[in-house]
Amino acid sequence: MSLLQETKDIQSKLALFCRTGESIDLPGLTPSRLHHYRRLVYNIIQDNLESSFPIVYEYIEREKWQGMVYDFFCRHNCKSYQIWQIAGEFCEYAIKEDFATRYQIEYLNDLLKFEWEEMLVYNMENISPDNYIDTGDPLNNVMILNPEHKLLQLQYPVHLHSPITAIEKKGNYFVLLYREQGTGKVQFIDLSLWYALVIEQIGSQEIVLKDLLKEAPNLFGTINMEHLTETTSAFVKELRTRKFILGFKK
Amino acid sequence: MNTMIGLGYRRDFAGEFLEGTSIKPDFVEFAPENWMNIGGYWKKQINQIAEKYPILCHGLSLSIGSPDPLDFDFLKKLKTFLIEYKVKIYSEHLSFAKCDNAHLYDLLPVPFREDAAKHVVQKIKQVQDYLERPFVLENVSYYTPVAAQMTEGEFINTIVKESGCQLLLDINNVYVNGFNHKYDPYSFIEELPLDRVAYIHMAGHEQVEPDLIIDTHGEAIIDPVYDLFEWAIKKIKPVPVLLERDFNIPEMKELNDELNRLRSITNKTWSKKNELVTGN
Repeated sequence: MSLLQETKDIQSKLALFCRTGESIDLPGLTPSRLHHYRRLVYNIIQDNLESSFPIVYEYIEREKWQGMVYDFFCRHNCKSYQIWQIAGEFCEYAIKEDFATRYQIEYLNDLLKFEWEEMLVYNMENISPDNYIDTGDPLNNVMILNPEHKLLQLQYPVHLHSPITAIEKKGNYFVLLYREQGTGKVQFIDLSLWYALVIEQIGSQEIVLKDLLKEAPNLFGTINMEHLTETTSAFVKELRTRKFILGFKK
Repeated sequence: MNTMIGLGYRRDFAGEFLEGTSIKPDFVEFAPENWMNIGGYWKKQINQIAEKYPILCHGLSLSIGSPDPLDFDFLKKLKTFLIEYKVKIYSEHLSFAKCDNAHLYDLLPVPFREDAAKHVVQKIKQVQDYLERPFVLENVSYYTPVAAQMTEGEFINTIVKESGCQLLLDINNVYVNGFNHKYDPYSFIEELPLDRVAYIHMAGHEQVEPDLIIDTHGEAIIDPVYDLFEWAIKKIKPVPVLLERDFNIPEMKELNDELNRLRSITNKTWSKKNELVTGN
């Protein structure tokens, strides 16, 4: 390429100034106007993150939030050419930099993850489900799931409670996020470990519920199989009603 | 109808394009980066928009003026999008929004220098070859020159002439730059390769300091910009004209009044049909 190193350096300095605010001296520059570029770039990033993480933004003290955004803005090289995807980069960055500890916000990683994954499922490209028929036996036929979904594991139940209440309920939580086929809305369902496992297994291999149930004692030890079969069947029925289980393999 | 007056697609008033009766654009402009590789609700919406209106695209992330090489993964997806929506025109800004492998999501000014012009020319040629369509380049607003060794007019002329690309003439940007850098916008437009203009943008702006205007797309177009537009289009063949409104969205009637004012000016001046209307 014909670009001289000198010109390249000028552009690098300008770009770096926009992110760090480190003063630069370039020929012909109007220094009093330079800050507008920095302000405009920062506002774009900040506005995008605020709208991507409305709950985080609502619950975190303004100073802490601004500190996180500013840190990300100055130090992270945004990779995505689609601005809405920087929310995912912010989420990863916050976890890598351990903002949860630095800013003493225990639930932060979970809440960022939950809000980002919700947006990701909402925007994800359409995925056609495998061919299916409407009728079948949930225990003995392979079930076809709505493929536009994501399973999340969380430490804090930020999907059920306000972040403040969630802190007191640390544990193991599983959430199913899926995009409704008709409306495109994202729904979530709180899951037990067993139900998360059922969805994960049905979604990843051609396994029938009856065979999955046989594995339950390995997981739970002694268990009332009749009761488990009954409750799992009811759960599957509920997922059918909510159109997450679309039907049965053809 | 001889002219095409369009409006940029925004989530803020997306419903109006399909169900509303208060805005009546002749075409819709997408920023492809906002709608590429998505599904669900918005995919359905933009599919319906594309069934109802001709689509033009104006990109944000190509970063044609960047020192960094082109992102061919992006171009591949962009090409698919442009084909899928039968996009009539794809345009981008003469600026850079990515540097040292980091996106900034705003339009930074490229130094007006011979080597930078040649660099942009090479990249435009690559884009045109890859996308297999003409590339349309927009003159951008800038708030400070950066290490310039030639004028903005010379810079644009060199690039358009050597790359063979077309020009998106942003009238508001010319006005903003004329004000900010104290030059005559009329003379500036006369300097440009007007036979290469394929598309026009019109927008509002905000004066933030006594001697500085920022190109916000957040206000109505002001009269001096309409005057400049009316004067300029006499020198240009009929092309699509877009109203840009990205922030501070007014009542739909106000937007439609702006569309109608642009339509009335163009109808008065352009008797010949727009090539996009005739399909040529």
